[in-house]
Formats: sequence, C-alpha cells, structure tokens
Amino acid sequence: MSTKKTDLVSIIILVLVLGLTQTAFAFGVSPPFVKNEHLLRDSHFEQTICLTQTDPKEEYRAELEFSPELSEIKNWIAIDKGMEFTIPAGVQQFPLKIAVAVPQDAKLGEYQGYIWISGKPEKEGLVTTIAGGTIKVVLKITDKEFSDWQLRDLGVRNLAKDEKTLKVYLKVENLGNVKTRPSRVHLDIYDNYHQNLLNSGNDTELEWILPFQTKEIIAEFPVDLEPAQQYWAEIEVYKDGEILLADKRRFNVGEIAKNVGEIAKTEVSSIQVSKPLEESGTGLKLGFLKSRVFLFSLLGIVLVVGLGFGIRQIRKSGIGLEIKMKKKTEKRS
Amino acid sequence: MAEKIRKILPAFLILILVAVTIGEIRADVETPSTSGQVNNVAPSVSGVNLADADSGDIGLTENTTTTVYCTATITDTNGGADISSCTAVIYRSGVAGGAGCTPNNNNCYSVSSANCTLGSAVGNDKNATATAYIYFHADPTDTGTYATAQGYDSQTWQCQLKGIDAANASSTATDSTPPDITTLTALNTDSSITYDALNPGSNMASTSIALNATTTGNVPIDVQLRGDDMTYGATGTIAVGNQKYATSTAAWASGTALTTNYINLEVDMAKPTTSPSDSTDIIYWGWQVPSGTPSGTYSGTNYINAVED
Repeated sequence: MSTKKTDLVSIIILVLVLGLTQTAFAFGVSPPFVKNEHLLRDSHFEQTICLTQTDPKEEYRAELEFSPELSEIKNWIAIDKGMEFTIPAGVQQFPLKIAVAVPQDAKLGEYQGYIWISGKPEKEGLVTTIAGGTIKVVLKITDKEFSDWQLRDLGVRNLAKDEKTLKVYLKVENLGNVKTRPSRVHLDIYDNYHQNLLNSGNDTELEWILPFQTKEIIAEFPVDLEPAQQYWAEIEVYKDGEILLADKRRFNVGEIAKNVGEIAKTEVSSIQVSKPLEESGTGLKLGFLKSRVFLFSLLGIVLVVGLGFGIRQIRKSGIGLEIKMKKKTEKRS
Repeated sequence: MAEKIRKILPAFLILILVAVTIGEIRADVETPSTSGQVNNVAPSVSGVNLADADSGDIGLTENTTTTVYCTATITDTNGGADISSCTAVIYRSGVAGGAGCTPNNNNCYSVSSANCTLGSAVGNDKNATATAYIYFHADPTDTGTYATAQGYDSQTWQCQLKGIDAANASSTATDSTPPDITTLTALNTDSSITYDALNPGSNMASTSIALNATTTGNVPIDVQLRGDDMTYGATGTIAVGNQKYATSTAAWASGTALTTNYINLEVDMAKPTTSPSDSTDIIYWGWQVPSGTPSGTYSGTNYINAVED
C-alpha cells in the first residue's frame, strides 16, 4: 500500500508504550502437552500442567481457549481452574489439572489441537505484548486394551513397638487403559547388620490401580520383630512375574534412642585401635592393683615362702632325718 | 613339730589354691583381660529418592532454578555418629560418565557436602538431604518432541548419594524409582511494540520494529502469534490485520498479517544451554493505517506463545 494523504487534516497516530519498552514478559508451560494414545471409550484421564513465571510481581489473568481442531472434543475436556483464572502475584509454579472424559459414543481415532493460554492486559489502554502458553493436545481413542505401569516410589515405614504387620508402600502409575497391579512383592527382613535373615514373605494380593491413575498401594507382611531395633528390608517388585525392581530400605521397630550410636561409639573407643597398647596396658595395671587377686596372690606367696623357709629349718635341725629313719623302721617291722 | 607341719601343709596348699582361684574369678569380672580392634566399616546408603517440592516428576521454572532434593538413609555399623558427611551427583541417566559426569547445568549437577545435610544419629542411621538447584535449561527426559528426538525419553534424572564416615570411608547408592524432568516451553519477550507514527492511508516500508524474544525453557521452540484490534476511544479501530510480522526486516508486502487466531511462526529458537539463555531471536513488526482512521493514540494487545518445535 502506498502512502497517501487523506482529505482530512493529516493525522498522526501514535501508539504509546508508556515506559514499558525496557521490560519483558515471560511465561512457561511444563509439560506443554496432554497426550494419551490408549484411551478407551468411557475412560477418564487426568494430567497436571504447571504454568511458570520467573518473577511474577503482578497477578496473571489467564484466559484459556481451545483451538478449532478440538471443537469436536472440547466437551470432553475439563480444567480444574476453569477457562478463566488468575495466577496470584508471587506464584512461580501454578498447577493446572486437565481432565479428559471420553464419552461412550466417541468415534475412534486421533484428535489433535491446542489449548491456548493468553494473559489479559493488566491495564486497559496500553499496547502490550503478552507471553502466554500453548498446550498441545493429542488424544487417541482406541478399542484395544493396553496394560502397563511404572513404579514411582517405594518405601517402608517404621513399625510401632507392638505392631505386627510391616507395610511396604508402592506408588504405582497405571499407564494403561485397564486396571493393573504388581504381580508380587517379595520381602526379606534382615537384622541391623544385614547379616541374618529374620523373615521372608510375599504379597500377591495387592490393590488394583484403575486406568491412568497414580496411587499408593500397600503390600503387607506379618512380622514379629524385637522392638527398639533397626532392620533392613530387601524388597523385590514383580511385573507380570518378572522382577522389575530390587531395592533395600531401613526401618525401625519402636523408638530408637537418638544417641545410641554415640554411646556405641564411645564404648568401642575404649578398646579402640588408635592407641591400643597404651590403653590396654594402663588399664590392666590399674585393674590388677585394685583387685583381690593381687592380695590373695601376695598372701599365697608369703605362705609358700614361709612354708619353704620352715621346712628348710626343720631339715637343718635333723628332725626330718629322724622322721625318715622312723618310717623305714616301721616298714621293716 | 614336723608332724604338725605335715598335717597343716595340705590345708595350707588348698587354701592357697582356693585363694588363687577366687582371685582369678574376680579378675575376670572386674578387669579387662582382653583387648581387641574394632575395624572401621564403610557406611551404606539406602532409600535414595530424588524429587522436587511436590514429589513426582520434576517441573522446572522458566528462566530460573528449581530446587530439588535427593534424600537417603545412611547406615554405619560403627554407629550413626560415625557418619560425617554426604555428597551427591544429580544427572541425566544417559550422560557420558554416568555419576562420574562432568558438572554441566544441562545434564550433571554436583552437590558438595556444604549442600548435603545430615540429620541426627538414630541408632546406626542418619538421614541425608542433598539440595540442588536445577536450571531451566536442564535436559528433559519425558515424551516431548525434543526429548524423544534426542533419545532422552528412555532416560531419567538420577541421584547418586554418597555417605562418608569419619575415617573417610564411603559408599554410594542411586534412586531405584528416578523421576523425569519434564519439557518446559517458555518465552521471555519485550512487553510492547512501538510503531512509527503514520498518516492514515500509509504503511511502514518494512517490518522493522524489533520484538526481542528469548527462550527460557529446556527445548527448542517456535512461536504462535495473534492479536486484538487496536482501538482508540469509543470509535477508533484499526483491525488486527493491519499489523504484520516477519523473522527479518522484510518489505511490507512480504510480512505476515496478524490475525485474531493463533498462527505458527517458524523461528526455530534453539534449546538454551546456559543461563542467562543463549537462545534469542527477533520478530520484526510493522503496521499500516487505513485511510479514514481518526487521529489518536491507538492501543491493543498482541499475544505470543511458545510452542515446542
């Protein structure tokens, strides 16, 4: 288009920026997609998306919009915060839960599109550039069953003093469209030194996890362990009969004194290796002087020496010879 | 006299024997008759878990760091008090060298003992928490386009925590259920566009107004753009299509007209590898003013979103 003057007074149109030229606007989305390739009809699926801003000095008024490609399925999609919401100032990570409920009569196939997140201008009348986010949506409706899961966390919690069931906690994410669960959890319990096997067991009756859900389930094992002790739990988790993971965890039964370790260390150090000869030598000498064995030994030595001295004197005086002669005479007679 | 001594002698000997025996027994009770050496045993590490504040996968924050925690239990049979320090390495599982990787904010973070805290000794154990600050451009390992293309989708982010005792003996363990770092698309842009003043019925010769854009996530991106009509007062309107954009200072006719719907623009901004981000680009803008437009200060809003390339 060429430049030309109108019949009106020449008009200068200005777009004022009002001091915003040096500032910047930032926005992030993680993950920037909602994906599921294994959705059955009448299934339900949720995903949490995090909206992020580095330096959110002001609130962010967000408006969500589905791209035209999603018009056919937008009624399946629900967003926990609604289509308009405000991210408060100061919040760097703002979670957004997107739920997909596939109707019974959904057509099989793949659906793709975007959910756009746009910021609303904070102050009307300014020309602004607002950064927002785009969430890609890829949903595939299928009639094929798909089973898969992954372990997200594993733990053993301490037992109370009289508790007789050890619980192994498994956080399992069902990635498939049918219910699932680990096929087996095996547990070996060892003593504090990880040397003696105290208990073994299996749990094959674990709770089912519904499609696309993440849930903490519990494997239970009857135990009878001494209280105020620490133990090792060696855990094996099986998937379809194959071992998926083997790991170990520490646990306590009852209260463990917080300074037990320090006391143990002190006791050990009295016969420790740092100066073993000096320490044991000194200890033995002092102990001996203080003990009764010294007194009894001294008494014994005095008695033996005295006895020896007495016999010697008797022999010198001839009494001993007289006794010997007398004995011989008695035998002959 | 000799007869007397002969009679008394066995009694004396028995008395001495009893005395010595009692003395020996007492000695066993009261004095250490043995000494021994207790060897130092290296501590063992168990229950390693890497997570961010809300557990689960690690979601990064654009243009800054995100705090993650690597926790574990350190056990020392010499007593919990013998555990003296801990360190950790947090890394993308496929990075060269694994836990021996060279520190790099894209894929390998070394946590020194200063950032690895120990709890109180409980029996033979101490809890350890290594804290790391993961940059926005750390490699993603989820199923995003970039992560899949790089083969990172089969990897995770791992933590290897080392427990160290007073004799400097140590051992390590890793997380058996390691998380992913999720894809982060993010964009930091100038907050406004200032067009040249024009007379009605005229346009800029080219798209020459620069809008600076910086990628502040962990993947390459393109952008999507849309705009609102510009308005002035109750009646002045300049339709959105009178703004054009391009990836260079193109002649006016070559620019792409802005629409009210988001449209992709291939800017191919690379994945940042440093902080501040080293992935920047400029989108060039221009406008025209239709004939018959009342004079005034027109305002509007343009929207720019990052989308994974």
